[in-house]
Amino acid sequence: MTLPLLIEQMLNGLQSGVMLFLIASGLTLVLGIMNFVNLAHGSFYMIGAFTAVSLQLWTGSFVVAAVGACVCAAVAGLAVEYVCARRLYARSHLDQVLVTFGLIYLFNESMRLIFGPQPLASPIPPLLNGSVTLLPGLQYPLFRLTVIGVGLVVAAGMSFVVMRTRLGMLIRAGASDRGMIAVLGVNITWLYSLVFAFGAALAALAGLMSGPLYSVNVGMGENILIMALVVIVVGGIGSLKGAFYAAIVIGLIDTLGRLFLPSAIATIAIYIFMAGVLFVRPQGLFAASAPPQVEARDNGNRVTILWSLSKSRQRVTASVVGLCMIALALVPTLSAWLDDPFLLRLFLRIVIFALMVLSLDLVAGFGGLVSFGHAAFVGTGAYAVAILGWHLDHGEPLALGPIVLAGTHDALVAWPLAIASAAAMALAIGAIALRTSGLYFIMSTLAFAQMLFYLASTPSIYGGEDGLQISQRSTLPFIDLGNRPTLYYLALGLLALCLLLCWRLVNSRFGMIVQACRQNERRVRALGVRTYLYKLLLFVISGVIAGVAGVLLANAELLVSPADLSWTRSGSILIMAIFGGLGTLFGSVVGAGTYLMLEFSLSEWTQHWQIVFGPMLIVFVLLARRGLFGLVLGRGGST
Amino acid sequence: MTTTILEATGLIKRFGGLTATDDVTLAIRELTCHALIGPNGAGKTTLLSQLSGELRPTAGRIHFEGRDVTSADLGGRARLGILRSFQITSVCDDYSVFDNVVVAAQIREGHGFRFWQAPRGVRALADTTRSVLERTGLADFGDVPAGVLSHGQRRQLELAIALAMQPRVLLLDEPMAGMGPAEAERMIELLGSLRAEYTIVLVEHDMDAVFNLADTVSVLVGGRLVASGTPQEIRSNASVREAYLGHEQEDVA
Repeated sequence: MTLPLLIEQMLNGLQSGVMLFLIASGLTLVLGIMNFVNLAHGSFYMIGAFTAVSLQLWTGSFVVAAVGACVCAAVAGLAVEYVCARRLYARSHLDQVLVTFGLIYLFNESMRLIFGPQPLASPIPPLLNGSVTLLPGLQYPLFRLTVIGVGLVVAAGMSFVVMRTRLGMLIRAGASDRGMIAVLGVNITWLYSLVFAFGAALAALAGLMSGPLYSVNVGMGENILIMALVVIVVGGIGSLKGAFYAAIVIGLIDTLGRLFLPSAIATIAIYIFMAGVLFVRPQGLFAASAPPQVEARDNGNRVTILWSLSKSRQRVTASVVGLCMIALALVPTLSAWLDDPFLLRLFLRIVIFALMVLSLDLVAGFGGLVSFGHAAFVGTGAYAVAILGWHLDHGEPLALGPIVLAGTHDALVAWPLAIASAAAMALAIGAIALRTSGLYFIMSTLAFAQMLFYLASTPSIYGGEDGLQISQRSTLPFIDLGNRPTLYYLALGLLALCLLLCWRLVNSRFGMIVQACRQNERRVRALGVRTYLYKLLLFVISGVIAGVAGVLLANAELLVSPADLSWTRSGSILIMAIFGGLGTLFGSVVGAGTYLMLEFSLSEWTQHWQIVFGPMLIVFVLLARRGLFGLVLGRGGST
Repeated sequence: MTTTILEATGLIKRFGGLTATDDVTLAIRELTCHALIGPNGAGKTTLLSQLSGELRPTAGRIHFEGRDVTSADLGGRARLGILRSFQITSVCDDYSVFDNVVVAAQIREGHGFRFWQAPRGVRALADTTRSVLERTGLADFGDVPAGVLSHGQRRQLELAIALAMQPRVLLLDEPMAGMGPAEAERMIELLGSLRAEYTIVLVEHDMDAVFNLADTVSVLVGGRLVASGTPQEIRSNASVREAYLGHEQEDVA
């Protein structure tokens, strides 16, 4: 390693750091001031990049393209703020996550419609082409140098505005105490719109500068968004200073890590760093405000649990649940009768996803712990089954430290191991994530899941990005899972069992305490309860159910891939949970069924189904707050 | 003379330059009602928060039944039996009144790592809960979600939750605050009935209540303990009168 090379790489790290800052700064302000989680912030980055490329090709001027991209994103930001965000400031983070998730669908699919699925290449503007000699033997591209310069100038400018002007004072006041500036008579509405639009324009600035460096494609916003979320969590929500330093450090770690660390670790280095920071300082390095209100507002999605319903409601509920289960049990017969094997495939998928949603409902609906990385636990279970099978097929024993396993397709060995891995993963992630609360919890579960996603995507004997094929279904004594209806009945039986166990669990002593924690954790702690242990155990139990779902998923699909661990998968599970109604248990079946059937019928109809689905999701969250199964339950308990 | 159950020695609490508790030494005797009074800003709630474990004193020690509990936090002291009700009521809004209390009753019984049986169905817990609700005047409201209770009822529920824990010492921060006269009257009556069975430390502005309920009254002014004694002694203490009671003398007498 020569010194010029090292300096070059550090400059690259700095360049990626300032880009991250441009995105994270807008995101952290919106979070800090409006308390709004905008997952669609990455879309502004994407919009900026696409607009800049097309304007540049059209007019030939990079300046026009740059200005146009920023204006365009700012307008999009204003529109998003006016149409969606404004209605959600007072709502739970969960609602915000879902609506902005819908916006991602909408924006991504729109870009795909307009620009096609191919990545676009963006030329470096002629003026900035070439490189400069910084030191003897160190040539550095002028464009990258410009990016660093622009980033630092913007950072300095923002620092001036925030620290020295009246507007900045309002912004700082808003970040540390939102209620206060409203009370002081400041017109918040314009401040909110301004911050939102400005944040969007900054993201677009980063997007347009990224064009010549990386490729411009649909989905570019999500990768950078997750990195920006990591930046914010590390820096402390609402803190510009924190965002700046964290962005630079993370840019450097990411770039230098690829140089010095083995590739499997390099891709997840920033997540390891984040975990370390969260472990030491759960509020990030530069939290702008005192610990944010841990007692998150009760999310409107929850419905009172079955037990407290009136007798007649209980009967209605029980009949609906019973009828649904009977209907599900008849699916294989119906599928055979109609000679439509696809029906069985679809419903097998529904049953397996219902288990995933149930697992999430347990933590999110009853524990108030919104996990945005639940696919990680499902994926862990699925991968475990696949990996054990692979080792048997290839005759290579699997060495886990001192323990050497031959690999197996035997369900009696593989399944418990897989479920235990999922539970262990939940224990490890939960132990760190539960040190935080509210938004930090959502973000850190997301980031940890992302870590597993990248780990699975790293090229390895387990297939990397292509995933891992499974040669056969697991074997059980007396039961032949090779037969799809048998697998379906087994899955349905496991679902029914888990539903029953969960129902007992949430009403048990343990469940009562966990639910009390959701409503008023301070209160429960004041009674002498070590709430952390309860929440951690709930998380692990949820991991067990997710593991069961993972095992079944591996057997149903006979393929596991990083997509099973992706954050879009986690997001879908969350959407299904909301569809069905959080805190209802059986809503998981309703939610998974509705979502998957909707997805199926929309995708039959158009390839761009997400452009329809995104807005549907937004409208659903804005209007129906209690989920579909919540409608069946009615206004439980409040009479 | 009964034994001392909770004892503070040389308690000092500073917030930056402000000394909110200034060398307070206090002994709470078992099964008595000990009132803390003083003008606004005298540091009554700060003192109570140190007794409950929410605030760590800058200096000084706190002993509970002879045991040093200075470093135990709120939860740790709750496990020992020192329970605090909050000035800002804090209950589980989604739970019914009954469930709020039953959860406390089960916490009293030990850890909650039991995963099958619903506590509502456990005879002993349900009995405890019902008797506590009876006692606090909430017997008719068992099925009502706590979120829809009136302010006064929420204070009663707050007390019921504490009672379900069968506390050794009950720390009450202005239990009558924000109540109407009728509600306050009932609360005083309730506290009066608890006096024989529980050790109570009471921060209260309502002098009628204090002189009715308290066995011992301690007067705080500017963080310092200026007097401590029976209600009669406090009433006739000239320096207390001057520093604090002053114009309220007629009401009291």
